[in-house]
Amino acid sequence: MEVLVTLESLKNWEGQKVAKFPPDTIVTKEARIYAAKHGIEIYIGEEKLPEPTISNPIPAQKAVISVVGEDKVGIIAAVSEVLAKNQVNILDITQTAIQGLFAMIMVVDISRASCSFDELKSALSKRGQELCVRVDAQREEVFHFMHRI
Amino acid sequence: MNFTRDEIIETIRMVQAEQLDIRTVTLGISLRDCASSSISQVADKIYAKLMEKGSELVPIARQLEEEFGIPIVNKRISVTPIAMVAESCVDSDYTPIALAMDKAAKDLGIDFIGGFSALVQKGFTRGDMNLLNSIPDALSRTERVCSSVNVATSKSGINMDAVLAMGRIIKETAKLTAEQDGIGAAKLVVFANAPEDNPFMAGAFHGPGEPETTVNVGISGPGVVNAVVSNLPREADLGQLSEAIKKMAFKITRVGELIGREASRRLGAPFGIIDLSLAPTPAIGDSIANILEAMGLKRCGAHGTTAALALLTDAVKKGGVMASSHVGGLSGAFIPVSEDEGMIRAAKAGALTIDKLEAMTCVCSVGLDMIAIPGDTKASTISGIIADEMAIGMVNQKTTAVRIIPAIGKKAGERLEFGGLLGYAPVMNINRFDCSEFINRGGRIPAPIHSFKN
Repeated sequence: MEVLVTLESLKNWEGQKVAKFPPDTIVTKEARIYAAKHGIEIYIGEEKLPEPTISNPIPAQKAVISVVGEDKVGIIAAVSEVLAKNQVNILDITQTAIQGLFAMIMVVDISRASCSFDELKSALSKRGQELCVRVDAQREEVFHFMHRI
Repeated sequence: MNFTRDEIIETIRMVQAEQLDIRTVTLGISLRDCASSSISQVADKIYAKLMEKGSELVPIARQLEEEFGIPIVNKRISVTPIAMVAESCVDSDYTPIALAMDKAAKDLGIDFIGGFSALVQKGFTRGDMNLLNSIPDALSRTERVCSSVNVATSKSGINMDAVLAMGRIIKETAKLTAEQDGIGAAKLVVFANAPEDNPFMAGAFHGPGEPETTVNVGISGPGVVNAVVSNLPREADLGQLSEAIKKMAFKITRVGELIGREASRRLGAPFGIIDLSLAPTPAIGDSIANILEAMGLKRCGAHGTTAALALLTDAVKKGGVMASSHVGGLSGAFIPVSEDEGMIRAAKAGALTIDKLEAMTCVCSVGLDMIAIPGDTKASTISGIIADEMAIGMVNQKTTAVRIIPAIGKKAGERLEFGGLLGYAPVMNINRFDCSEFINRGGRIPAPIHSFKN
């Protein structure tokens, strides 16, 4: 009988959906992370082992878009156009200066976006280049981790 | 949205103007199942395993950079000390393994691979000896392989035979890479109390007590801390200074925690530790020396520098510990001379000497780091420098290390150029009096009395 199920023993279950072990078996965290990544469900007896705790159970719904550069006509219009085209809703806009440069910050809802975050980001930065400003998008977790305990 | 405008701006400013980044995501990979009696088989097994386990590291790190908007400067791999993996080989030259590691690193697109290492604090096995002998050749024929040798611990004392050997090995490595300003020696570090989960090079290796794979994260951010210190009013006392640094260290470390957790989930490898070290780069403003100077020292190295550094290191740890579920590695402020624009300037001005640097290593990690010394320095003198540093680590129960580069054919005042993150180093003066009689005695320095805690 295996008392301890490690990564090594779990590898034998690769490609399968369910791995069953007798009651009282201990499954290491490492093996559980491996199983979660490879889509294997682990059962100890009849009970399903929950996935190891991960930082973001729900993917981010919001993102922060920042525009830094020289102030000029049409920046907000250009950025909003890209957002609208991709079904991204603007929740909040504010502007300020960072070290003498114009900075616009938008909080947006990406939960119904019609494109991936990567695509949105590159579309924004392309538009930014045409206007000679730096446009960046970050998932909200960064701000959550940094400013909230 | 639960964040205020100022909080959002602070984060954006930290990344875009103050060089906040993740210095490294280091994937630890165990190679204990790669042993064989034939060296070419070991090399093949290691290459295959690295290519399998490491294939996702660079793409996932890029993904994380894009999504979270935080640059990840280096992607690295650390492996089980090669002396253990290669011990059962009949051959005694381990260079083919270093070549296989180097090839894997290049094919995977990672920046450095650490673990061409041996742990010899109490003595040598055959594998340890072979590894030490292979270091000069291995480092001169590879680009991304890093090597480390642990020669002392607080529990077992200092292996002075190893210290003696390392003096010669460092010199030989510098000689073999003299055309590239001795860069081989910049990838070689001698340790006391080497941590098994260090994500930073050149000292990273995947310790024998580590799991199959693990993700370790090294943070950075001297520029951010510098901005905080500079923005404090001049009359702020040192308690307030420490408080401000603590808060900022918390924020920096949280970013590392987020990246570490996400990397762990996406790579399917457990999250090991965050290393709470402030790691400088040669970029202007990303300097530890600048922080110390912002505290009120005219130049780094002035009297008061050790105290200022002690305050900084402690505040970074206090802020960082709460921000992360697991901390480890070296955790402290790094003071590598060539990688820190402010240190270079201080050394050139004569404010910072090797003796002051040694004193500073008593209160921070990681030791005498990236210091160029005159090329005609005797091997025994290098061993003397190592022995001093190892004694500091052993007695104070902390990690210390030596990474010095003999500048072959150069004298004090000239400079070595490494480029990239390694920067450039002014050749520093050292004490010219001989220590060879002491060093050549060999044997072991016994562990200090306060190491008996049982």
